[in-house]
Amino acid sequence: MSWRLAALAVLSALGGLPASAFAIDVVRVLPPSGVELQPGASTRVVLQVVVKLGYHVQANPVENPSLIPITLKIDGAKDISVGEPLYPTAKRLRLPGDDQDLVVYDGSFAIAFPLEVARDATAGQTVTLKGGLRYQACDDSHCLFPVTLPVALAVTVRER
Amino acid sequence: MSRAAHCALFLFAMLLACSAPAATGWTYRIGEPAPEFQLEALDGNVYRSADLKGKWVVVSFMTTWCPFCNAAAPHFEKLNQEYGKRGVKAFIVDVSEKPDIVSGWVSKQKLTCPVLLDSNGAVTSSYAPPPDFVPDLKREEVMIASFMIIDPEGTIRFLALNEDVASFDARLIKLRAMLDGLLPEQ
Repeated sequence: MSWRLAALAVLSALGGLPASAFAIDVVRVLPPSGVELQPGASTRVVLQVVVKLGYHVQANPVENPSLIPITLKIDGAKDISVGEPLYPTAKRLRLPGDDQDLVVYDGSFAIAFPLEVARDATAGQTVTLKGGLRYQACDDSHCLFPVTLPVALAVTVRER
Repeated sequence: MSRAAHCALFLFAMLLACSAPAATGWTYRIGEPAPEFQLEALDGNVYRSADLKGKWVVVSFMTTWCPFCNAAAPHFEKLNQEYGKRGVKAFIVDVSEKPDIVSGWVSKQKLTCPVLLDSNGAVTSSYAPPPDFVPDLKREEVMIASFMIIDPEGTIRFLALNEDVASFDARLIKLRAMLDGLLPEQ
């Protein structure tokens, strides 16, 4: 069994396949290997996003509200709060015959978000924050269904 | 228009229509019977392919979030208005979206043609080229932002699949030229 089939089997066992299960892998997310913070401290977490060569994703924000902007959503947890993501400046692209630019990302880019540990957080614990990166990708000739890629980030609360 | 001019226009349309497939060597679905379908539309009516027999039909497969579709939609509406007067039935098949989302988009785009809801993408897939064409994509993904002409006998006469950004035909120039060549002279 290939690793893809194995992954699908695991996903199925976990309660159903997401709509994106059979989509091609256009986007990879490279979170930091782990974040360590003392109680009361804050930082800016940077996720590196890599788009497959030849593809682009709709930026955030989009100029045409019908399009689907790439959106990072990370859920906070007890003692750990997560702020609004900051998205990079987009590239502009215009389709022949269109009267409006598209704003897109391609290649590698970063999405950052603030993260803060509560002052009274218990030191020594590691919390895995979970969320997803929703995006809609196209190449030069086709557009793919929107996909939500799971994202996880381990945060360790250090001793003061 | 004179008969000679009409013939010249038809030949031009045939050349245009054949140029994209010839460039990549495909003629997928051309000459094949259009697959049967029965779909509910946003207007609440049920549309059946059998009811379209005897009519020239133009169909586009779209989604609200697809940039190519957003660029082409106003031109598709113009085509619907103009060619509707010549008896052409134009409609859009929306691929795998919820009706309320589609409804908002149709209002925004001021579309007046029927918008059929292919909620699971099965009808769209049935119109798609076989898996050897862009094999990495789902069949319904391949069809998003495509345009098709079906003749009164129910045969597919034209299929425009996007080749690349540079050749993207948002203004539907090839589709119009093909229609002009195929439709009976008025």
